[in-house]
Amino acid sequence: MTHDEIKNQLDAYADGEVSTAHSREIAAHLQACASCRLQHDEWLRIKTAFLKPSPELPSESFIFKVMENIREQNEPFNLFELIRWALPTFAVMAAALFFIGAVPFESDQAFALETALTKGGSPFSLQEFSEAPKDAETDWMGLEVL
Amino acid sequence: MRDDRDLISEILKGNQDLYSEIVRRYQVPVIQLCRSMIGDHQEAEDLAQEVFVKSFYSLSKFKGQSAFYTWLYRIAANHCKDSLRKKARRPEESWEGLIEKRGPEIESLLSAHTPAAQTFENQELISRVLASLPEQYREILNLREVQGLTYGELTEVLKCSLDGVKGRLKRAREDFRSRLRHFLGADTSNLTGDRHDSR
Repeated sequence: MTHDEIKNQLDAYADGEVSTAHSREIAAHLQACASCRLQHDEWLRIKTAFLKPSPELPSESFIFKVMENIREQNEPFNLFELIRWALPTFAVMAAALFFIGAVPFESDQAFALETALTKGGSPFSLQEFSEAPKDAETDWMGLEVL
Repeated sequence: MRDDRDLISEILKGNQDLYSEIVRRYQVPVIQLCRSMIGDHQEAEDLAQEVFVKSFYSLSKFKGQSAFYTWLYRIAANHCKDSLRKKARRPEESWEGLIEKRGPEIESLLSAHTPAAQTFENQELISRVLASLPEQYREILNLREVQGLTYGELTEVLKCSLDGVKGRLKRAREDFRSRLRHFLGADTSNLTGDRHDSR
C-alpha cells in the first residue's frame, strides 16, 4: 500500500477492522512514518480522554424506577380504585345541587336587574320592583302600566 | 449467565420481572449513549429510563436477527434524536464558548494519558465536549469508541451501508480532531516515542 492508502486506512486499523496482512503492513509503516504516527496517536489521545466506557456501576434505583414505570403502565382497570374516588365526588356534587335547588330563585328580580343594567330602564330599585303588586298590569318590560 | 435471547423469550412468555436483568446489563451503556447525545446528565438518565420502558413494550418486535444491544442502542439513539428535535434544541454551548470557558481543563484531560472519565467533573466536561459535536458524529463516535460496536453492527444500528459507516466515522474523527487541534499541538512531544496498541 502507498502512504496515502495507509493514511486512509488508519481509522480502520485503529478499529481492528483491517485484515491481518494489512494490519502488519500498517504497523510497520507507522514505525517509519512520523506523519501517520502522529495522526494515529492523536486519535488515541482523544479516545483515551473523551471516549472511554464509563466506570460507573448499574444503579438499583434506576432499575427499580424502570420496573415501577412498566408495572404502572401494565396495571389493569381497577374498579375498586374508580369507586374509591368516584363515590365521594358524586356525593359532593349531589350536595351542591341540592343546596342550589333549595335557594328560591326570583326570576322577576333577576329580570328587573338585567333590565335596569342593560336597557337603561327607569331607575327603580330592585326592592320597589319586587314589592309591586303581582297582578298589576305590566308592559313588555315588566314595568307597571299607569 | 443467561443470554439476552433466553431472557427475552422468558419475558415474552409473561415473566416480566426478568426484564430487570436486561436493564441491569445495559443501563450504563444506554445512559452513556444518551449523555453523549444530550449533554445534560439528569435529562439523559430520564431519557434512558424512557428507552427501557419503550423497548419493553416493543420486545415482541425484536426478531433476534441481530444482537439485542444493537436493537436497543438504535431505540436509544432515535429516542434522543426525537427528544432533541421536539425541543428544537441546538447544543447548549458553542464549541468556541466551551473552549473559552474550559480550555485549560480540556487541555489537561488530553495530556493525562490515562482514562479520564473517573470523576464527576470530568464526566460532565466530557459530556459537554461530545454534545458540542454535530448530532450524527457524536452518535457514531459513542457507538464505535465507547460501546465498541463493530462496523457491521454500526450498519445495523445506523441503518446505512458499510461505506456509509466508514465515511461518517472518518468525518466524525476528523471533525473532532480539528476541534482539538490547538490542544493536541501543545503536547505532541510526548507522543513521538510512545507506542500504543491498536485496540
